[in-house]
Amino acid sequence: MADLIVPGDKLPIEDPSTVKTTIGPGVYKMPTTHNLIPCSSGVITVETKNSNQLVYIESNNKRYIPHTNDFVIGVVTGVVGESYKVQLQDFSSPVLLGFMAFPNATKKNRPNLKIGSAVYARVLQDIPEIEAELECIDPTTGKEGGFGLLDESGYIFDVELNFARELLFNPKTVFLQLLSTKCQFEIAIGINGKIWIKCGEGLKEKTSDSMETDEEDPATNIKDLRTTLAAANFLIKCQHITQDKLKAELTNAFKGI
Amino acid sequence: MSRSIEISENQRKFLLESLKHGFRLTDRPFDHVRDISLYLSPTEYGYVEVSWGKTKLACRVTATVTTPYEDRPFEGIFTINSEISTMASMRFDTSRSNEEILIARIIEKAVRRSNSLDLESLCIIAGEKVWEITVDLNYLNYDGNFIDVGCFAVMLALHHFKKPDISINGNSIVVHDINERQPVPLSILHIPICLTYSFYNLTDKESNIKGEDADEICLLDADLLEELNRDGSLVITLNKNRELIQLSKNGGLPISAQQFLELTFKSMKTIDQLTDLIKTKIKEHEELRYKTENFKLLEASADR
Amino acid sequence: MELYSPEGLRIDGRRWNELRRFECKINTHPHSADGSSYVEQGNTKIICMVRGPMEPAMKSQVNATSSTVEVNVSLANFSTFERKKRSKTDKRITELKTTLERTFNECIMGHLYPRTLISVTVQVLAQDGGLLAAMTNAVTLALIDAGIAMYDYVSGVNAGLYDQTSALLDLNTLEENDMCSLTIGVIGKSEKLALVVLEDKLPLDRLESVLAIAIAGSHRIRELMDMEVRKHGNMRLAKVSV
Repeated sequence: MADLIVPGDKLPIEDPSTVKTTIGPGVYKMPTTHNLIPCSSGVITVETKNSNQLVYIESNNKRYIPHTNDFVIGVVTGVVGESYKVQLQDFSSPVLLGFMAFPNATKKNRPNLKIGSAVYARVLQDIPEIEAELECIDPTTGKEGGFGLLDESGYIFDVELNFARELLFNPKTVFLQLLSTKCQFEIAIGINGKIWIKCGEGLKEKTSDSMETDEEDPATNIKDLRTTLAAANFLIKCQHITQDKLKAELTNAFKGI
Repeated sequence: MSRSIEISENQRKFLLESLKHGFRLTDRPFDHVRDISLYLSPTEYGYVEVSWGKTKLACRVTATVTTPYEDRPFEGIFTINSEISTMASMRFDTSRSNEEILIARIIEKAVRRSNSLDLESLCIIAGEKVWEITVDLNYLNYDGNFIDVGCFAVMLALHHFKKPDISINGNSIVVHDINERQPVPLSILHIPICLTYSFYNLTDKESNIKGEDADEICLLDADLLEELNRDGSLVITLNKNRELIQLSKNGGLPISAQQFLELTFKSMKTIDQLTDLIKTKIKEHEELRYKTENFKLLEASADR
Repeated sequence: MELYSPEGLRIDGRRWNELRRFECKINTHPHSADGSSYVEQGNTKIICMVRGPMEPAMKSQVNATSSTVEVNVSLANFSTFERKKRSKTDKRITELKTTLERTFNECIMGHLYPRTLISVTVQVLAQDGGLLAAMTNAVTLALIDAGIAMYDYVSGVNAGLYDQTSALLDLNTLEENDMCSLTIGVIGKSEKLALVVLEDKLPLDRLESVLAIAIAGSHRIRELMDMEVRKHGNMRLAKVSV
């Protein structure tokens, strides 16, 4: 059941003292009275299964607040002591990524990130009073697990938070399926609203070795570059159009390639 | 709290590589302005909202009667207030940065110093009473290029504004309400339009300064990402009469004199387009107003 | 009083393509600054002092990849015909200051001095037209004196258009008030423009002629500055070698 709810409304659920209730984002349990109230506005979902009820509110914002275990894409902006200073969004407080928070890191073996590099990391700590911390190690395996430096051949762009959540957590998301019909791509989605995408080889750096094959290189160079940009523009547009217009938007974004 | 926009190396490299291959990230041609949408208030005179792509601002013109400056008793007073608040973007905080001051200065040089508004026509009683015209620019959203949009909005608002009609009885003046007598448009001598070109150096500094070839890329009307990554900028202000109102290249990437001259000549085409856009929009608006407010009746009674 | 007589003479007796008297000295304040210069362009007199590269005073000025150039412009109260008090945050002064900063950021090899500050102070003692041009020349000389690595000279001059027909080089105050004035800053012997400022109306079709004479004037100023720098250099060389 999809209904609009606003703070101040009463939650359309059964009395939590009689039915076992699990609450998700957007619902707050008052510490003193144990009442459940909605604390954000959005679409409310109530599911009842085996006499357990689940209630949560889906809302959209643009400003990301770090929470433990979130997968994020950050941009390195500097070095502070033994950590990198990383920014997750424009105008947000910076977070820290320690030098040792990488697999196989030792005091002598420092990671090779420079200012402006993008990393895919996991939020380790989100204590509200101090700066949040990230790490680039998969907690289950202790190895890289997909975290670390996102190389410069991919393009990074910003989206709204619920779109990022849709892409990351919905395995049957229609947007990525549709995009895969036009091109092959590698994608990294940060829950802080940043997406890294690379089609084919993305942006190829011209090295001195490629001087001999200069005649054919420019054509293939641009194709991947243009495809990557088209894919990014398509995803950005997807946020604001209805489902029936998706196919048309896809052809529009990829015309000329 | 960080008050800056961090650009990742990925975005920067994509931008420069695309420019090298001749296209922008948004697939707009290098010498095209973004899509322009205009809103002219149908109820009051002198309020307009202008958007070039996502850059949006609102401009309001107001008029009051006041005493003129002592050293200029025959001229009215014309001021432009251009302050960027945090609403436009969090980059602009309460302290006025150099960039804001430059934007305000360039718009002032383009519109006020070039005498686009005839100040002598604002005089009511010489030495005692003149019109004071104040233009307030409110920047609503920042997506690059406040200078061009600001100047365009000021000129559009000045054309849209009408001051109340006045009759003089000896030493006292009577200001007629706009519903009583048809208000009078301002006397605008010429329409200055600003165009900002952004430069990008794809090689290193040394080849730019010492090299012979003009390898610099030049874009018209940069959006936010392009503006943050540019190496230099040039603001050219022209009007339709082929007069250069002002030029501002405040440092930044050096460009060859040849390229510079070519840019100024090329700008005339865009200047013509934008000037015509202002004129047609105002004309359309006038016709709409004429119909909706039954000016024919008003004119009929004035004739009698 | 005609600014440009039919015989082709201006009020100070110059022809249309003649510069005013250009005098410059470097290393004028060896003890108070790392580099200093004094420039006189006609009656416009400017002192410039450079300190650096040095530790930045504020953390916000630290740039990890390049040096930061900071310019402070001070117009003396007695510099104009009538004594006038000027505030430091005057819009015109801020514009001049930003222009100089952005111009020299391009010409200094900033990547050789990361995380440092180069502080330039320009003191204007007398203004008689061509203010921005003279300041540009003064800053160039002071930076050369300070030994800061640069790609080339930046020489500046202004030019104007009289009566919609005749281009005039190097305007003084009277001429500047009456006609449009174009100030340019040229890099070395090339035709690359580092800065261009035009503040009054100029017909587009006349731009080329005004620009051409201004570039020629800048090249001449560069020669004059270069002569002074070499003269000073040779003098110091003579003192060292016995």
